[in-house]
Amino acid sequence: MRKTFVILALVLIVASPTIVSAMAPRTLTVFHSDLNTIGFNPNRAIWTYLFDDGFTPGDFAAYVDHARNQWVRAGIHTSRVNDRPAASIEIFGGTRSRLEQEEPRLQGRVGVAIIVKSANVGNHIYNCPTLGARTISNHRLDSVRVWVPQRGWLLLWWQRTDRNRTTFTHELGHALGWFGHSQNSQDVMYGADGMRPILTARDIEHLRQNY
Amino acid sequence: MTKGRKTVLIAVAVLLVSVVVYSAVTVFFPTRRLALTKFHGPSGGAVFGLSYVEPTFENHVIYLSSNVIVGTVLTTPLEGASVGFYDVRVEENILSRMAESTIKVYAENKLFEVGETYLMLLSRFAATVYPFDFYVADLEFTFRVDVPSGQVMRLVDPAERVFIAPFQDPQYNSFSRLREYIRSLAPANQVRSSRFLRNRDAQVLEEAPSHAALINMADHILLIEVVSSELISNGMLTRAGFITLEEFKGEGTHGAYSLLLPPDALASQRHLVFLVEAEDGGVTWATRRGSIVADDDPEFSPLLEKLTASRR
Repeated sequence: MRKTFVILALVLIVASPTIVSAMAPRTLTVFHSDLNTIGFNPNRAIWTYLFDDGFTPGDFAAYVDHARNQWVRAGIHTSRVNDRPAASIEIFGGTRSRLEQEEPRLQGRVGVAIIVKSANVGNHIYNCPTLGARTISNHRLDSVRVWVPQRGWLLLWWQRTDRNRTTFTHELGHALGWFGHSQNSQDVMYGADGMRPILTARDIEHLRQNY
Repeated sequence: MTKGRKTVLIAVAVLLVSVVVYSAVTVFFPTRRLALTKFHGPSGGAVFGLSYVEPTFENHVIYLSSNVIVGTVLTTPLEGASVGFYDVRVEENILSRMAESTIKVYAENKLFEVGETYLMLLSRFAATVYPFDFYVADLEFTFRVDVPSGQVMRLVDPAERVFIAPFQDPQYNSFSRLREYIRSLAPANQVRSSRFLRNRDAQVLEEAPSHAALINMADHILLIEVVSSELISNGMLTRAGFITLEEFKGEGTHGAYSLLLPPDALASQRHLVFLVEAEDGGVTWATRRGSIVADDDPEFSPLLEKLTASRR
């Protein structure tokens, strides 16, 4: 019995280096979020759904791919799947009126990420230069839903494109473990709308250290 | 003066007046910024929104709130639901007045506790697909009001029920001072909040007075068959995949790949749906009651006959 348990544990450790590495307590070198929480998404498979023609399917796919490519720069690879149960990240797009009916918390927001299922798997330590040692709660994300409605047509097309790219990249960041927001308005993970479609070094280094 | 030139002049005049009014509002109602107390602890928050505006307390009041109230929580959403409706008794209207003495507040479960009194930043939500109007709580600014001490505390970790004094300037942590401050933001709120809150003043038609009126007001009338259904997270509606069996009015449904239907809509069931187009191109129910008629409803056959007859 004990032998079986040991073998199973060893198999798990060998087969899941990413999960084990992300769960292990560690000392973080930087921390740019306004919350003392960080996460990781071991599955990282994305399933997408369009409710109506708020976005064209091509534009919607392009925005999702832009976001995925940005997070590849942080060394965080995602995949797209057609099988919904296989995904840990669901991204919904469509007209604002339709999405707000499904998710009223979108009101007044350009996008929302909702953590449906997660687990606290331990703590990290961050030695903040100004505030001293901080305990950072580490979460494994098992299911996250992202809602991004279309933009108003008053925006010029390049503004719309860049703002959409920013929103998709920002919300995917939450789905991959970026809890809270950056306090620096240049970062994609800052909490207000803008045209910042490219991840900054701060965005990247914050989340990369948890993978 | 030619007609075209006159139109251009009027347009320029309107633009200039708009700029002057906007500048006046900005000058006469400048926005201060109260520094929030920093929170250095883990948070069990599970909803992260990218806001239209800079994430300050003032912006949330001015741009993202239709109402600010003090309310006591009477009931919570069902146990196990991730999100839902709280019944809240309105103790005091601070920003904008609401007619109701008890309201429905939409928020994630465990944000508020029964019997506690909160200062709530709310945005009104009115849509035909929901059986009542309700208010969405601003998660980032939830304040518990401690009535005996007259102090407010901000909820920063809903999972662990961690509250902190919200503002660095302690005088604003007094409820009476904060109430005064929020009221000073009312003029700016009146001008600016409609920009991002489409539902702020929306009025929903409860029911059409007759079948003829319903048929007349609908932009799209379809006979559909539900091929798949999934309850949405608040349990109030079903997201239904469908095939169109008959199209009685309108062309297409603006690319709607699924429709929201009542929670009891079942796969393989037929429905008559009466839809109107939203401003942004989506479609929604024409009225709160009577727009979705399932084939086991007594109204189904008379309506179907009327629609079929009108095609002949």
